[in-house]
Amino acid sequence: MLSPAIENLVAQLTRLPGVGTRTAHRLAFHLLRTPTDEALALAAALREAKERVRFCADCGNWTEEEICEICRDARRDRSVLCVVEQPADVMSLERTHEYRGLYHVLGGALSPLDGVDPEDLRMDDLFRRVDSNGIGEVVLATNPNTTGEATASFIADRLRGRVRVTRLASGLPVGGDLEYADEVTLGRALSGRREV
Amino acid sequence: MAGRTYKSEAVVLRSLRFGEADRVLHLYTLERGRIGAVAKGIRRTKSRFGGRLEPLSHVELVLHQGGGELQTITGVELIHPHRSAREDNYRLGVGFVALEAMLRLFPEQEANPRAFEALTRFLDLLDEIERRPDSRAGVDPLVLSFQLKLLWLAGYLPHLTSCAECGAQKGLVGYSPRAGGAVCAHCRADSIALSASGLAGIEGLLRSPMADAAGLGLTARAGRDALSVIASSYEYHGGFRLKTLSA
Repeated sequence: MLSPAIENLVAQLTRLPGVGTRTAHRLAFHLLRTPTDEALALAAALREAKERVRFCADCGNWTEEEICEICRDARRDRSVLCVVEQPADVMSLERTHEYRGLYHVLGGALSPLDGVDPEDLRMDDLFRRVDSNGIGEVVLATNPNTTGEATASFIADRLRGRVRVTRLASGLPVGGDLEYADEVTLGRALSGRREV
Repeated sequence: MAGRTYKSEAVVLRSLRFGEADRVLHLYTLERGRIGAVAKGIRRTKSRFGGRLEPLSHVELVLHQGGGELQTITGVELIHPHRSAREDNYRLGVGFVALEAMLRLFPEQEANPRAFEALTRFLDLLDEIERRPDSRAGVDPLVLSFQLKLLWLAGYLPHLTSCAECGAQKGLVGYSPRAGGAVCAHCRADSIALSASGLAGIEGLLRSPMADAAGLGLTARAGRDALSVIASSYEYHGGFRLKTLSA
């Protein structure tokens, strides 16, 4: 019914996360309706990003240079290293404006059921950085789910006695009501309570 | 066709990212055995599911069966979070082996209340186990006992009291998954070696409740033999190997 070119565009769009066939059709028709230079600008941006963006040789974050902007920034605290699963997590933490140390992106989390072992992540690079770069504290900011906790626990075991290891606090979202909190989150908030 | 909503106790076996903020959960339910279900929006920090649907969680779910293969989770109540199992690396490793065994041995949507009961009993005991010195998660007596019981429930109970080929009562030296049990020296072709302590250990694990597994005094050799019997049974009867055992 559709031309092969449109079918191909739809097929490529459905490969994006969260995009089903109907959304892909809508996006494809929108792109076809937009002026040619606008649509091609999107294609050019895609090409440019794929060609220029790579992983930072130090931390594993996205960058266009050999070393990313955060790792190059002389004002950052080089004694603190925050370990995250994905580059998107770096962005989330940067938005807080609370953290001034460096990052280490693992590229995922340990998941024995999916066959993701320590050697599939940037673990060795992490331990090398901790040993050779005068790191005083490692902040474990992996996701607060089973695989993220398993990853944090594995790293904490390996770094025990070598460096101070801390874990992001878990608890209630700011602005929420206690009565809507689930038992697991509330339980962790209780056991992690602090003196005020 | 209108869908159907029902309630069931369930254990979360596996959780996979799906779409922008959802997860697909592999569940073992009391009502229907193994099912797949979507938990919509669960990855958002303000999700109403919160942390209740992590692997190892024992929950009561409200599920909606639509026209598709995956069901939708519309409500959840926590029965037991098994937090102490999840927050200890060794216990979690032991738990992952059990979850994968459930996933691979019971892939069909078919109720098996005894398998469900074994799983929830295993999880209750998992919260309490201590790491054995120099022990890998795969040879922990609790998970060996659990897997042997699962093999029994799946109909693959190893026959250990006499040679599965010729019926000889003594001189059992190997295990043949093809024959379905222990074999004597004359019938040992295609079998894996089995020590006397291994044979006694497996019998003990099969005879005793899971709660007593740690107290059976399984030697390291007996643990390795039990694991070999379990792994070769998986491979022969189900054609699979557990990823969690090779980690």
